[in-house]
Amino acid sequence: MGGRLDMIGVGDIELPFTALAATRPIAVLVDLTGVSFLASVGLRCIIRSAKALDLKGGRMALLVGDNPLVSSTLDAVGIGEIIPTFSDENAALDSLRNPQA
Amino acid sequence: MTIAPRPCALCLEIDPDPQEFRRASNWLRAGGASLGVSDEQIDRLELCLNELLANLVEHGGDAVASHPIQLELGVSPVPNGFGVQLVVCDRGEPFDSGQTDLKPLSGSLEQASPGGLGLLLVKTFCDELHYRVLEERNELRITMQWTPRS
Repeated sequence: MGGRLDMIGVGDIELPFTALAATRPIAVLVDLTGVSFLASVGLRCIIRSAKALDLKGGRMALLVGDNPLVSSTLDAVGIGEIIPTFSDENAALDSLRNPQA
Repeated sequence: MTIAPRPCALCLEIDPDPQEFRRASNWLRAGGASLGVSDEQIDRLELCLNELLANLVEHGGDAVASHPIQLELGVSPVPNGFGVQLVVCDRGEPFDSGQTDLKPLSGSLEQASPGGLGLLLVKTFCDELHYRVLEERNELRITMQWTPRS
């Protein structure tokens, strides 16, 4: 993902994102390193997709990288409690490959 | 060296439409910079503004849709630094955001409810939040404080 995830930005990507990320039992890494603005409407989109993916038997992780504004937003709502969140891509991929590790 | 912000206020009126929120964001970013607000506070203030406007459109009722929303941005000295105040005035259903009891997500993904995250962000990022009703208008004032680096 990239750009602004506000009401307009989420409106543009929600359907294709959900179709890609929440319709099959797969492992999905959502790359937020290019997101410049993450509002609660973007968080809700991610959480809804993660829940749908979970019901399908898949799993999601979030990659934040070095993005302090997005990191502080995710921390403020505690999203790491329900969706694994990483700053390092290899660690994120490892967690998806080995969810029990 | 950080320059001390100038005490004054900027105003903007927008329509209650998500297309207008980005105009409000641009106004806030440019105005905040001109007033000497730190970049970190501008980022957080922009997020708070976006969340407050989104809440108005989603939950403010029919009255919101037929009246413009007034915004005001200003800075003033506070003990040990400066404070930036953002005021949002609307004619929607009265609602005191400060009285909501919101908690971060916890437990399992299955049980998680994504409602209320916008107000949680506002309450987390601002230092003060004051709400009052004035002549059929709602006025919500949020304040963030910072200490200029020397």
